[in-house]
Amino acid sequence: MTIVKYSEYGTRLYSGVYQQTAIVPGMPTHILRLLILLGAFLTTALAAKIFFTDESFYRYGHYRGAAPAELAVGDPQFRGPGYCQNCHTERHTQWNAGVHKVVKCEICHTPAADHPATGKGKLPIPADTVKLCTLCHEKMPSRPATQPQIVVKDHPYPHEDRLECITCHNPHAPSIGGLKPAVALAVECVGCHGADGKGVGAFPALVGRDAAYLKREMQKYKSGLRQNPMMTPLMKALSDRDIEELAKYYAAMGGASTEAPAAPGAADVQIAGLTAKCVGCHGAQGEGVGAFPHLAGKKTDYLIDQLKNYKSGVRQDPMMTPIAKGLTDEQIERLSHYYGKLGDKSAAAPPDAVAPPAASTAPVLLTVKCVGCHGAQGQGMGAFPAIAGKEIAYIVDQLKNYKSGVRDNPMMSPIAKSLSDEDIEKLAEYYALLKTE
Amino acid sequence: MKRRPGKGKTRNTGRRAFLRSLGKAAASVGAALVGGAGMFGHSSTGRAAVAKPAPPEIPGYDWNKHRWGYGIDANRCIGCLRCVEACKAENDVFLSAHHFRTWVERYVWLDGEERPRVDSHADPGNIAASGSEKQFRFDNRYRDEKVYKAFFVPKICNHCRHPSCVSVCPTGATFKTDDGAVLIDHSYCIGCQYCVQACPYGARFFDPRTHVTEKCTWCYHRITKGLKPACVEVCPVNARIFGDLNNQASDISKFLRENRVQVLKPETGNAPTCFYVGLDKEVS
Amino acid sequence: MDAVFHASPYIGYVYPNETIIPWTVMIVVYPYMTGLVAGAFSVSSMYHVFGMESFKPVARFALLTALCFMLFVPMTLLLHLGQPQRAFNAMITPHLTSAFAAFGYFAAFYSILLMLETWFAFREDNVIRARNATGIRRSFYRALTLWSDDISEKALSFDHKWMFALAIIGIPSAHGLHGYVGFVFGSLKSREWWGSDMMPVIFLFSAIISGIAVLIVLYTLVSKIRKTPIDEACVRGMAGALWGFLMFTLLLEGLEFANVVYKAKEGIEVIMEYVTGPLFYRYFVFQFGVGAIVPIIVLGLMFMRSVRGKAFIVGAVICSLLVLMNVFLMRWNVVIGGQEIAKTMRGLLTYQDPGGREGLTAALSVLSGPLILLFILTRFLPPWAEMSEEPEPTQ
Repeated sequence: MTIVKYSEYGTRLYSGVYQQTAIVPGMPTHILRLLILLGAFLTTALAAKIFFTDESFYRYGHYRGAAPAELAVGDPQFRGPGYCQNCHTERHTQWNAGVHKVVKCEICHTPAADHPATGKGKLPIPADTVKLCTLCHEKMPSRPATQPQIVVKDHPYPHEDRLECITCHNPHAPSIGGLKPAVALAVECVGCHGADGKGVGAFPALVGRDAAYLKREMQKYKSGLRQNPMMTPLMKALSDRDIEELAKYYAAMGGASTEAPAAPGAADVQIAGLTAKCVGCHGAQGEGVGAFPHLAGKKTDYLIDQLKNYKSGVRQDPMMTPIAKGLTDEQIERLSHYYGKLGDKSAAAPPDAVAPPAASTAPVLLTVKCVGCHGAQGQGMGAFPAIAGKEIAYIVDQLKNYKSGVRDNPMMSPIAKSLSDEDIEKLAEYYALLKTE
Repeated sequence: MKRRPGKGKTRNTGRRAFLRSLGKAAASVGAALVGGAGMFGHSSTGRAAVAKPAPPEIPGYDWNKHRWGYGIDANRCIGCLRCVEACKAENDVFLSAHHFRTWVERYVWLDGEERPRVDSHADPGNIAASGSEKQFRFDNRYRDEKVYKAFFVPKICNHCRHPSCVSVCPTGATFKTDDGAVLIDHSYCIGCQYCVQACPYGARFFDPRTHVTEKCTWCYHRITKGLKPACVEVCPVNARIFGDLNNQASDISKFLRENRVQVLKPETGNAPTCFYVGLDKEVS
Repeated sequence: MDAVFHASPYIGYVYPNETIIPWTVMIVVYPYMTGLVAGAFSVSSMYHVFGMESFKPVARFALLTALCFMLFVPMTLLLHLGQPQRAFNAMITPHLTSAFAAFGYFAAFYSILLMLETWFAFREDNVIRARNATGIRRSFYRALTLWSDDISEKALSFDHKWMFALAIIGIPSAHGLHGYVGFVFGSLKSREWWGSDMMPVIFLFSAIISGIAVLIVLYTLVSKIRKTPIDEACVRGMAGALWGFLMFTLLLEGLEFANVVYKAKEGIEVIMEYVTGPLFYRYFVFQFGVGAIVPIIVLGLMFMRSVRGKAFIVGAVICSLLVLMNVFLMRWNVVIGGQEIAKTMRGLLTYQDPGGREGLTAALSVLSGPLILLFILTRFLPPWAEMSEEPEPTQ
């Protein structure tokens, strides 16, 4: 039976009893053991601290000295244009000469990283250029005024039309001074030659043609040397500089499309006699030589038309006219078929090409046939009337009149005839809803 | 006192080894104190007295020869956010609207409004415009408004000369290198996020994948190889400038020479080494 | 690794990285528990240092309470850390410029001090239990006494001397520990709501009141469970201390808020928007009103009217519970509140419970841990002062 002394602690605290007791001398064993325990703990802790402290710690400061070198390890993902140049030399040259040289390759094409070393394949080509280009060029209040900007909805072919910026603009070397008028001018061409300049129906492709050829032919229309109810008035309205810009524009658009066509499979022996007259200027495979345009892959109908034009004198050329006059209609057809099949471009079209309008298409795509004359927004151009905002019934009636022949016009009649009744209604609805500003 | 050779040598080995290890312990404690005292005093000369150790083993790079600096010309920024995208790709930054090593803010004053409306690309409206948290674009919400004044401001870690994030790190997992970068030792960080709290600029974030803190490194793996940080590399309008302050011909030296520059939140005493042109009093 | 994060909704403009609030309710519980430790230790030292007899019935119980809470404090931080297995890095290479670095050392030092104090306070009991017990129980108590059964007058004098000395060291340590926790927040210049010189003092005083309050609640609760009479003088003493410190705490918190408002530095607009908006009920109504002013008035009235007996006990317990709520809200309003005001000073965030190991459930579990430990510990080390001479064998 022991008295619990802790309970007396308080009463004894200031009674002087404890004051007489020293803390250290005459220490009882349990306190000694406690101190040894504490000492062991502290020693272990200190030893652990020293043992676990990284060897490089404190070398440069209060951190692991090995860390900076570890953080410097790693392969850069963005390799810079110089890296791209190694293989894509031509693109690089074109890009480096243009105003977009501040926009590095990897901004649009994603970082190169280890491309092409691993099986990663190609870097992506941006699919939605409207989304991409407007990142920098959409008109925004907070953008510096020096930045070229467009009001997207007022720009020809806004996003809703599903046409890409690169249809008109060369992403690698857009030109601010020279190209912009060309783009504006091209509005008049796309109605017949397609938004991509690759031709629509009987209307020939323009892209990838030699600039000198395009320029020469356009000037012929202008001077009257060549005659066409559609081309002549359009070309007469252009200045020489406009023609040059347009020629350069379309020539630049499909830089790579003049590649050598595949060798003909079963060469028609008879044809050889006929092509002998062509190959001197247009190349052995009709690939075109210098200013002489390529024939291979041209639309057969187009070739027939043109040869017949030369033959009849509608089109005049000191070299072509006599040759064409020497051909029978049957020979013209065979030649045209031959060159039309040679290197069929529809089969070799690049995968990223804009798909041609399908049979039943959205009205916006049908408008390709209208905008050339009536303007991108149907607002009318020059003598061509505005169609935007007209009554649906009116537009339908007039188109049907052209189609049935009640109304007759060298430009409208063939276009209207190419439209189904459903297309006519779609177009009418589309333009009726388009507001003129 | 001269020790007589031969005598008592073997007998004293144990004791000497012990003394040596004690010395090592004392040295490390001393180094800690010296390092700490240097940091406490915020003195730049604190470490100068001690002989400089060899620089870290980075091939072809000596950090004693460089002192990096960053410049931002807000007047030039077009808000295309290619820098943000490049940073995420270059550094494998977590792709979400809440984890950025660099970002861009938009300040817009509408007619008659006293204070600006501010948003960044992490704003829900802008995420809706880009279509994803993994892509970045500013929407055109002020297109039809009467705008009095508007501009973009790119933000990035300021790599301060007196970084409050470094001073609060309990372990020494984050530090300022001799060439000026504030880095994080990811293998040493305990993930307490005290530094995230301490940064007045919101430049740090906790990476939910690695469970440690992350921040801009000025692309330390690039700058030590003679390249520019990814954000500087891709900026199409040269709004971001990077270079060596030791080199009078560098972009940053030129930028500082030709402009009157400001820093963000100078009152914090953090002394950023990210210098701005074209700031407004409302930019914080 | 799973990539889980919880973004908070916000209004105005906040930095993109700020949308994830770094410190959750775990960091609210951390200073709350540290505060309980400091407060409970203060109560025990009222007896151990100042010899206030009225505190005797709870002196050793307060020590055990402080010890139990202290042992769970690191748990809150470990649960919060992204890499808890590296926690010792802060102790291996503590960075002296960081207010956080010293925590490991402070906590370790203070835990040891608490254990020593407890060891001395219970040594005599343990020796007696070792003598009276057999088998495993005997070995257990023998080990606890370090195989020494010296309870001579001289030995006990030594013990009490050490206890006194340890308590003397313990008071500044406990208060230092807690003031330091306040400093963790107050030393940050990035947040206007935190960066204040008064923060450590406010934390300290709110710690003391929370410690006293928790002891009033636990002591009456334990007495009810053990069906022992409640020592009214003891409760009265604690309630008196609570009343005094509570007024001081309220004054400091009010001054702190007045400082922010009167100085009206940059960002005052957003702070005012915050305190009058989302913070209004949490801050003015519950923390200041219900949690502080009501207990001050009730306790004051009870002292004035000389309320005695059961009515006083009930009143004191209710006031204590309100104070506990007050202190928890104060921690919440500082820790979470500071993070809800954006560093941009142009926006406000709304904290949302992240769940998981940092969520409210985990926090409450950690908070209940010390209570469970205390329940177990009192089985082995009954701290009741009126303990019978023959320790009752536990069944």
